[in-house]
Parts: sequence; structure tokens; C-alpha cells
Amino acid sequence: MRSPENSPEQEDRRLRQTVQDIVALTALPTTWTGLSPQEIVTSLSDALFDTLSLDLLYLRVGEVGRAGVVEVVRTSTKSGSDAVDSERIRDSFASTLSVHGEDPPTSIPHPSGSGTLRIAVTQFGVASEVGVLVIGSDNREFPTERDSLLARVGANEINTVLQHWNADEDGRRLQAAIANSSAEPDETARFLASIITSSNDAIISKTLDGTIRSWNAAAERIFGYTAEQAIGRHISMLIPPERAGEEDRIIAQLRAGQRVEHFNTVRVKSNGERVYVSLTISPIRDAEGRIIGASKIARDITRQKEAEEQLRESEERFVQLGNAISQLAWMAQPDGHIDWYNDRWYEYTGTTFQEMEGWGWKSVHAPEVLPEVVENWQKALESGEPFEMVFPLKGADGVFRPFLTRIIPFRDRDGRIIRWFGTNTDISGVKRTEEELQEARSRLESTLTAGEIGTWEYDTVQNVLRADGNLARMFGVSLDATADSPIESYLSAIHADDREGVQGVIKQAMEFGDDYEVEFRIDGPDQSVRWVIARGRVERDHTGQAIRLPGVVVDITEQKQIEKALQENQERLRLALDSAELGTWNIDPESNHLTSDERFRMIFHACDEPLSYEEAFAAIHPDDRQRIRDAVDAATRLEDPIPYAAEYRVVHPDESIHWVFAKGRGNFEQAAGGSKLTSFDGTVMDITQQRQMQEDLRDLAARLQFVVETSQIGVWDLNLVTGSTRRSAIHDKCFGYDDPLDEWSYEDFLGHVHPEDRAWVNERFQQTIEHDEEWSFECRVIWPNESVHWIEVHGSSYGKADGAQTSILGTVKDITGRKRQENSLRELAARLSEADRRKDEFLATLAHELRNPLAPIRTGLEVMRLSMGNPEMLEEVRRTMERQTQQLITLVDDLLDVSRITKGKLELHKSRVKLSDVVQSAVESSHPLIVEGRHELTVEIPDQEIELNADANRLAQVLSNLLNNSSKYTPEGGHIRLSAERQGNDVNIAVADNGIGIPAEMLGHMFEMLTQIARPQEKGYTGLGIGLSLVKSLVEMHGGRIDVYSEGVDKGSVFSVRLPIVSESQREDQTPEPTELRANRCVGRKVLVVDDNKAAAKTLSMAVKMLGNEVRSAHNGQEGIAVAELFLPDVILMDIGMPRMNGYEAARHIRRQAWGRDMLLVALTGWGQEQDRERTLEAGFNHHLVKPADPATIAELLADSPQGPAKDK
Amino acid sequence: MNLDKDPAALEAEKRREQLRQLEHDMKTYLGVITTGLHALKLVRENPDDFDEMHQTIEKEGVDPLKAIVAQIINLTLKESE
Repeated sequence: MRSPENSPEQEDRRLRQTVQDIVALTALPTTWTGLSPQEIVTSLSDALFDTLSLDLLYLRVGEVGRAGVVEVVRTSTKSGSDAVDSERIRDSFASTLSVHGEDPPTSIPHPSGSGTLRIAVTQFGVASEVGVLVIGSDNREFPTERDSLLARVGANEINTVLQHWNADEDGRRLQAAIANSSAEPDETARFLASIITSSNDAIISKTLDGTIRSWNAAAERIFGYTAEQAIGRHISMLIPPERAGEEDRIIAQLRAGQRVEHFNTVRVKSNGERVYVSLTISPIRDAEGRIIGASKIARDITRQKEAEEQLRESEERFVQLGNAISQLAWMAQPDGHIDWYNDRWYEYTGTTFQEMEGWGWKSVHAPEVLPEVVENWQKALESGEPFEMVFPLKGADGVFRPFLTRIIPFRDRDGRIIRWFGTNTDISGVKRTEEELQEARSRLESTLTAGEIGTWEYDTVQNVLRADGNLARMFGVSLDATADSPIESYLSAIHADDREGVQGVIKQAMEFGDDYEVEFRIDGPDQSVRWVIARGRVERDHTGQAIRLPGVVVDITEQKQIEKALQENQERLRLALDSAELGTWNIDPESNHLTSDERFRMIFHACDEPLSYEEAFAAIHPDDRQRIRDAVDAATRLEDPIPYAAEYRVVHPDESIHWVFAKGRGNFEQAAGGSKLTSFDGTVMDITQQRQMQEDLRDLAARLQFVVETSQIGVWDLNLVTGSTRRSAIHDKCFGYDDPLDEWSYEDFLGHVHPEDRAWVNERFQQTIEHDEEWSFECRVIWPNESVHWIEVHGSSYGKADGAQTSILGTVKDITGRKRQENSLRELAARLSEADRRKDEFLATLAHELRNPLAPIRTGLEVMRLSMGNPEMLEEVRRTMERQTQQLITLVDDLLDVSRITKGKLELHKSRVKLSDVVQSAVESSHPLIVEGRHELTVEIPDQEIELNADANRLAQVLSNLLNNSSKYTPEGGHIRLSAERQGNDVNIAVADNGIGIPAEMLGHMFEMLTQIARPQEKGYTGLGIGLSLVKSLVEMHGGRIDVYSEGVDKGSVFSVRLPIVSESQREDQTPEPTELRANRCVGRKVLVVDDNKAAAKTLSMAVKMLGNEVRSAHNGQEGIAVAELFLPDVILMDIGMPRMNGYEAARHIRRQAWGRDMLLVALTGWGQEQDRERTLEAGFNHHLVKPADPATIAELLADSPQGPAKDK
Repeated sequence: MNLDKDPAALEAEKRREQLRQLEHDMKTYLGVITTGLHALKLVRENPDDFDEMHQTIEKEGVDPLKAIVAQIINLTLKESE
């Protein structure tokens, strides 16, 4: 803490400095010897200017000898000091200084041009002229007494010197004047003597050896020695022994020309008492400037010291006091610079003195109020008035708390402010209390207002009713209107039916009771009625007389309404429970007592007998009991209870099981130590039927789901309001999305519909919405992969109970597969229809073809009978009959071959054959037809033999069929050409004719079964339409191919067969000779013919016999065996299907006999299928011939058979 | 499933056997005609044999064949209905 300046000390210092300055100023003329007036004036001006720390000095002395007017101007650096400025400054004085008799000015405009300058003007006489000394300063206290005194001293010195200088311009006279000035008492000496004499300070002079030379009155008073006692004695008489060194040190400093600083010390009075003095010691010089002694100014500072001590103690006590108080406290210098804070300040703010010193306190003020605080503080500093203000200060914890700040100034005896003292009192508690009080008051008022509670007090003595606004408002009474008859105003507001009762209750309370309570109605505006309850008490004096009735009136209209509503609700609840067939129950958790209604008991045990809690639980199905216990526990636990809702079974006494649904919840109340379960209640409903329906519904839904999923039917539900669609996964798959889509709208659906179907699909959709029709159709949709699929859609609208149509529910199914099947079936049906048509034609043709040959055969027989005499005709007829018979045989064979090919049962017996032999065989076979048609046949085959790996008979059948075909479809006398040409490894065989040709549209169907083209009616014969199909199959079985070419109708046709030929390396043995070539070569065999058909046996026997063989016949198997055993034939030609014993059995029997083991057995049967052949071989036959056997073939077999016992082939 | 008791299957089997027998018989009668005609060529110098063979062909060949053809036609037409 910085010590405050001591005003007395400051004063003393000023005084001592003044004396020293006067001494120095009066000693100045000793240095002017030989100087000019200008130099003297300048010297004095400089001394004054520096001593008084002036901002301006102007000294003018008029007509000093030959020097004339002498003028000097001095300004401080901040005022400027160049010549121009000096001129301007001088001019500024001129007007004011030229007017005599007026007070000189005290201020002039500041030479620097900013503000004003305080000045002091001293005028003095110099010869006949007036000298002027102007000094100026911007110090607010200028001119002080010291300033004025030194100015006068300086002016006097210059006046004295220059007066002598004017009288004698000789320098010596000046010297004398100066000497006179020093030697003789003049005004200065008098002035000085006056100061010394009147001074309160002891002024003592001494020599350098310490001898006292002068002793003023103050010295006598302070030290107790008179001048006579002191002068001539050594100064050490005043110095206490412990400070003896002080004098030696002072003398040493003076001798050395060093300045002796002012200091305080202790001296001894004449009576031995110690006295505190403040010493100022200055050297005394002789005329040459040598130090010859010292002056000592001693001021008695004992009282000052005592005051200082008191002040110090006071200040310590103050600081202790400041630290002892609970408020924050601080002190500031007069200019507001705070230089002390108490400990509370640092404790609260958490700051240090270094941070807070001066104006550092701003850092703990809230920014928003700081400007106002600073402004008020500065106003206080300027006005010197105390002030107080409430503002927040930031604590060490960073929290701002409100403080009441009070600041007062401390003043000295002169009324000047020496210190500011401030305190900051934490009023956050007070503020909080005020706020809480205000809040409580506001809350109470709000509560009373919100609760519609009116308060009133009736003074029965003065008959005065004091009511608050709530009561007046409640009763619809104006507070002003109650002035005259207050009670009547309120009573009149009470409903007429209740008024008397209210008065009676209050009257009775006043007479007999202490408290009262009454409910009544108040008539409100618009016929409205409000219910209130009035409560109060009666206060009585010591005699028991009622003197005051304070009370409240509470509006309970809503409560009344709620009670009424509650009654209505209870009634409605009862009706609801009845209508919903709900049973109710309540359990007291304290006693586990169950309270239930009749329906509950009926549900639980089918009678109205009382039911305890335990019995009710026992009625619950054992499998459900624990689950229900857990649910009850969860609903009645104190923490986080779960509402009770459960479905379970109860078992009636007759062991029937009923499903019930129960709901309930625990009721809790807040009690000491937490919440407490007060009751557990709820309802129960018999849901047996609902459960059964749910089960049925669930089962139905499951089955429906199964059907939908297994049928791959997608389900959709279009919301007509939102446009959104719920779908099953199969629905999206119907539109090509394996992964379900997030969104699907009707527009999405329509976008997937095939563009050709979109319009009518949308039209039907609109019709569905407008007319509530079914939406069923099949259409095409395009999948994301651009593939087209068929879907089948069924939809039907449904909506809310009010009939508003809100959705369309439907199904969708991908029927692409079904559509394909339908198309296939449709095509198949078309083909079947065509096939059926062909079959009909075929059957008609077959009937014709079968009958046709019979007529010429039968006719031929008649002709033969009549032609017995004509061998040529006979032979011609017979040949014709043979052709017809052969035609019939061919017809049947073709049919059977086609059948075998169709069944995959036709086998080729391939061998190396010569093409020429095959061609010859075919031509021979077709020759009768060609001859009959009078056609010209040309055969052209290469000379070089071509061999084929083929079934010679089947290949001959192919070519023969082609030749027969040309014969049939070529008008009589046509040309048929059979040619063969080797082409690489193939041979191309062509049958061309100039017949009726083939229409272009028929060319692609020529090899299909039952295909025929129209032919001239006159030809009569059309064929069965199976020949070319058979030809094509046979060619392909040989690894070849067949083509047909025709330029059109009547342009003829060409059938070409291309077959692979056998290469040179593949050639082996020669083709066997054709059968015909070897016919009739061998005769003389013993042949047995066995056939149950006697005609067949007879004709065959005759034919074989005609070949020169010996023939026997039999008509069944047994007979055949018997004949054979006796006849021992070489060859047996035996039918298979015979009575008594068939051919197989007979053959096996014969083979088991020694005589039959080597016979040639030939099966001759109408059965020619492969399995038939296998069976005959298995039975022991060597050959299998199908009827009607070619006589040439039989002849060949007989020729090849060995004569005598036969060997196996 | 017992095919033996299936009337349709039994009917089909019966029909197949019937056709098979018709084929057999038709060929037998064709054989009579064929071999008969071949024999006629050999016996044309002997009027008695010729006449006997001629009758055999007519009675044992052509007539039964006609009957069989009629039977075939009836059977196929019936099937096509």
C-alpha cells in the first residue's frame, strides 16, 4: 500500500524550497558584475523561468541608459519559442498592458493556440519607465503564493540594479550599487528579516566549525535556548549522542560543496527532552562564493510525527477493519486510482493486487454494465459526490453475482478529497430472497386467481367487509359498489334458493361455532350459475363476542360438473360393461381380497357364487397359470409397471374350457419412502367364440396363403386414396422383378402393360371404379428384360363400412406358360384337324383301294372260265389278275411298313448290292403299272457298276414306289425316266416324268403322311398317300435324302434320291443273284404243305407239285407231324396259326425227332412282324415267309434246299 | 392301377388282335389267290384241274378276301367315327 502524501510535510517542503529560492535569487546580482542590461535581464529571466518551472516569461524594462528598452521572452518547449512566436506573444500583451489603472489580466490565450494560459503580472518602476514582468503557466493552481513572491523578489532585484545602472552608466558604479545593495539593509533585507522573524521554523546559521551564529525566535521556542544562550555555542548541544555523526556528515558535505538533502531527525531540547525536527540545511557563501557556513531550518514535527503515528495506527486499524468486514472493500486516490483492496476482494475475485491496481477492476465487471459503472465512477470523481450502484461482479468461479457498491470520498481539513473508499456488498442472497418473495407472492396471487379462490374478512364490529378482487369477480360485484352495503351486495349474488341457508350457517357459526363451511350457488350473468364453497372461522374477543370472520370462497363449479360427469360416466361405464359383457374385478393388495361382479364370477366358474382370489387363480388353466402370475407381478410392481393384458383359459367346474381376455392395471399412490400399490383392478371378457373365429380365420388365411403361393398367384391391394399398392412378392415377379420393389402404383402397372393392350386395360379399370365392376382380364406385360409375358388379373373394389370405395383388392398370375400351352394345343388341334381330315380321306381311299383290285380279280375269274379255249386271252386275264392281286398285296405291305416305321420296328437287312440289280428289280416290280399306263420308260444308269450298302428289297421298294407314283400321276402315254449319276461318294438317282406336276404350295408337303394331290378323275386311282412318306423314311434309313422338284401343274416332276455308295475298299463279295434268275432251277424235292386253310394248302401244293416236286399236305400241326414222320419230306411249308397244334409246337416237335432234325422247315404265315420271325426261328424253322409268298421265292427255297435230310441255313 | 381291368385298354388290345388276325387272314386269302393264279398257269392244259383251281381261287380266295376287306373297312370307318 502506498502511503498517502502528508499535507503538512508537503507544505513544509514548499516553504523551505521558497526560502532557498529567495536566497538564491537575491544572491544572483553577485554574478551580474560587468554584464549589460540585456544580459542582466536575461540572467534574471532564466533564473525565474527555471526556478518556477514556467511556461511563459515576459520581462520588459524601459529606457535603461543607452540600452533603451530591454525585453526578454521565454516560453516552454511545448509553447514554442522562435522569434515569430515571441513577437506574437508580445503583441498579445500590448493591449492589456498599455492601459494603466486597470487590473492586469489573469489569463491569456495559450501561445500554442490550444486553451488558455494563467498569468501573473508584476509591474515595477525602473527610472521613469515602468517595468513589466509577466509569468505564465498552464498549471491549474498557478500562480501560487511562492510564484508571486519570487516574481516580486526578482522584479525588485532587477529594478534596483537597473536604477543604479541608469544613474551611472559606468560599470564601476554598477559595482558599487551592487555592493550597496548587499551591504545596506534594503527592502529585500527587511523582507528576509521579516520572514526569519515571523517564521514558525527555527532558522539557525552556523559556521563550518559548527558554531551557532544566528538563532531566531522559533529556535528559542523549539529548543528552549534563548538567542543569547545559543549563539556562540556549538551546534552539537542540540544533537543527541546517538546521532553525533550526523553533524560531522553534514559539515563534510557542505565543505565538499555537496547538497544536503532534507531529512527528519531528533534533537535535544534545553530541558533534555527529545524533539522531532525536519531539517533543511543550505550553505552560506561569502562574496567570492566560498562556503563559509550553513543555514539550518528546523521545523518541529513532533506533532506531525505523532499525527503520522496516529495516522499509521489509524490506517492499520482501518486496514484491519477493512479486512474484517464481510464486504469487499477498496480505496482509491483522488484521481480514482485504486491502490488497496481488502482480502475479501481478492478472495471473491481470485485476483491479485497487480491485476487490480488502478483501473484493473474493470476485468471483473460484466461487459454490459461496465460502461455505466465507469461513467458513474468518473462523474463521482469529478463531482466529489458519493454514489452507490448495484451491478454484478465476477467471482473466482466465473459466476457474476449482484453487489451493492457504495463509494464515499475522504476529505482533508481543507475539504479536499484525499481518498475514496468503496465497499461492495454481495446482495445475491437478498436479491434471491426478494425474487423468491416476489415469486411466492405472484404465485399465491396466481394460485388464488387460477384456483378461483376469493378471500374476504368481515369485521363484525365495524360492519366492514374486506374482499379481494377474486371474490368480487366471483360474485360479480364491483368493489366500488360494496362501499355502502357490502354484505348485501354479496348476499344478493347468492342464488335465491341458497341464500337463506348460507345466512343460517354463518349466523349459527357466529353464535355457537368456530368454523363453518357451506356450499351454495351464485347467480352469474346470462342465467349462468356457479357453485362455490365458503370456508371460514370465527374470531372472538376475550368476552366471546365474534369480532371477525376471515374466510375463503372457492369456485367449485368445475368440480360439481366433474362430479356430475363422473356420475354420468359411471352410468355409461355400467352400460358399456353390460353391453360388452365385461366382468369387472378389483384386488386389494393388502389382503388379496378379490371383489368381482356377477359377470366375472359367471365367466370364471359359471355361477354367481362368491369367488376368492385363490379360487379365481385356481380356475385358470394350469398351462396358463404361471404366465398370468408373471403378468400380474409385472403390472403390480412399483418400478416400471406394465399394464396387464392377457388371454388365457379358465376351466369351469364341468371341465369345459373357456378363453378369456383380461385387462387391468395397478393403481399407485405416492407415500413416504416411495410409491405404494393401492389397488389392482380391471375387466375380463369371455372370448371363447372370438378365439374360435380367430382360429378358423387363421386356418383359412393359412390355407389361402398356401393356395396363393403354390398357385404362384400374386396378391395386390391398390389404395385408391393414396395411390399406393401393397403387394406380395409373387406379384412383382409377375412383372419381372425377382426382388420386391419399394413402390408400385397403378401407373407403374399400366407402364408395364403391352402398348397394344394398354388402352383397353385402362378403360376397364376406369369402368371398375365408376361402376364398381369386377376387373378381370388377360393381357400382355413387358418385363424389364424386354420379354413379353401374359398375366391374368382379377380385381374387385372394397371400401369402408359406409360404402365408400377406397381400395381394389386383386390377384395376378403369370399365365405365359399356360398361354404357350394353349397356343400349342391350338396348333395341335389344327394339326389334328388336318390329320383327321387326311385320315378321313385316307379311309375313304383305303376302302376304295381295297375294293378296287377285287373287282378285276373276280371278273377275271369269270373271264378265265369263259376263255378256256383261248390260251392267250386266258394268260392275259391271269396276268391282269396277278397285277391286281399284287397291287392289293403292295397296298397291305405298304400299310404295314408305315406302321412299323412309325413304331420304330422296321429293320433293314443291309448288304452290298449293285445299283443295277436294284434298278432292275424295281423296274420289274413296276412294269405292270407302266405297261398299263402305256408309258415309255427310259432307264439310264452308268456303265460302271455302283455298289451300295443297302437292303436290296427296301431300296427296290423305294424306286418301285417312285416309278409307280410317276405312272399314276402321268397321263397315259407319258414319259418316265429313271437315271442314276455318280456324284462324288454319292449316287443321285432321279425319277422324272412329264406328268401332272406338283403345285408349288404342295412341294413342301409331298413327303408327309396321307398327302395326296389331285389327279385326273379318269385315272380313278389316287393311292393312299403313304407311299412317298414310306419312301422318304426308307431313304433316310439308308443315310440318304430325297428331294422333289416340279415347275408346277402339268410341268411334270422329278424325285431325286441321293445315297452314299460303297468305296472300292469296302467292296467284298458279289451281290447274290436275283431270285428270279434262279427260279425253277431245282425240282424233285419231297415237300409237305401244312395249312389249316385247305384252299391255301391245295393251291400251294399244286404250285409246288407243278415245279416237279413230290407233295403231301396236312391241315393242322398234329397231322403235319404224322405225315412228316411217314413221308420224311425234304421241306415242310407250314402255316403257324392252326387248330389243335400250331406251327410253333409242330416245329419244336419235329425238331426233337431224329428224322426231323435236318429237315428244311419254312414258316408260311400271315404274320410278318419281327417278333413273329423271332418266334419261328426260336421254334426251329429255317425260313419265315409271309403270305402271300411269292411263288418264285418258294421255288428258290426249294431249289436251294438239300435233297435228302436238310441242313440248317 | 390295374390295366387288366381297364375297359379301354382291353378294348384296344382286342382291336389290335382283331386287326392282327385280319392281316393274317387277308394275307392267307391273298396267298390262295396268288398261288392259285400261279397254279392256273400250270394247269391250264388240264380242264378239270383248271376248273378245280379256278373254283378254289374264287371260293377260298376271292370271296373270303372280299369279306375281309369289307370287315376291315367297317372296322376302320367305325373307328373314325
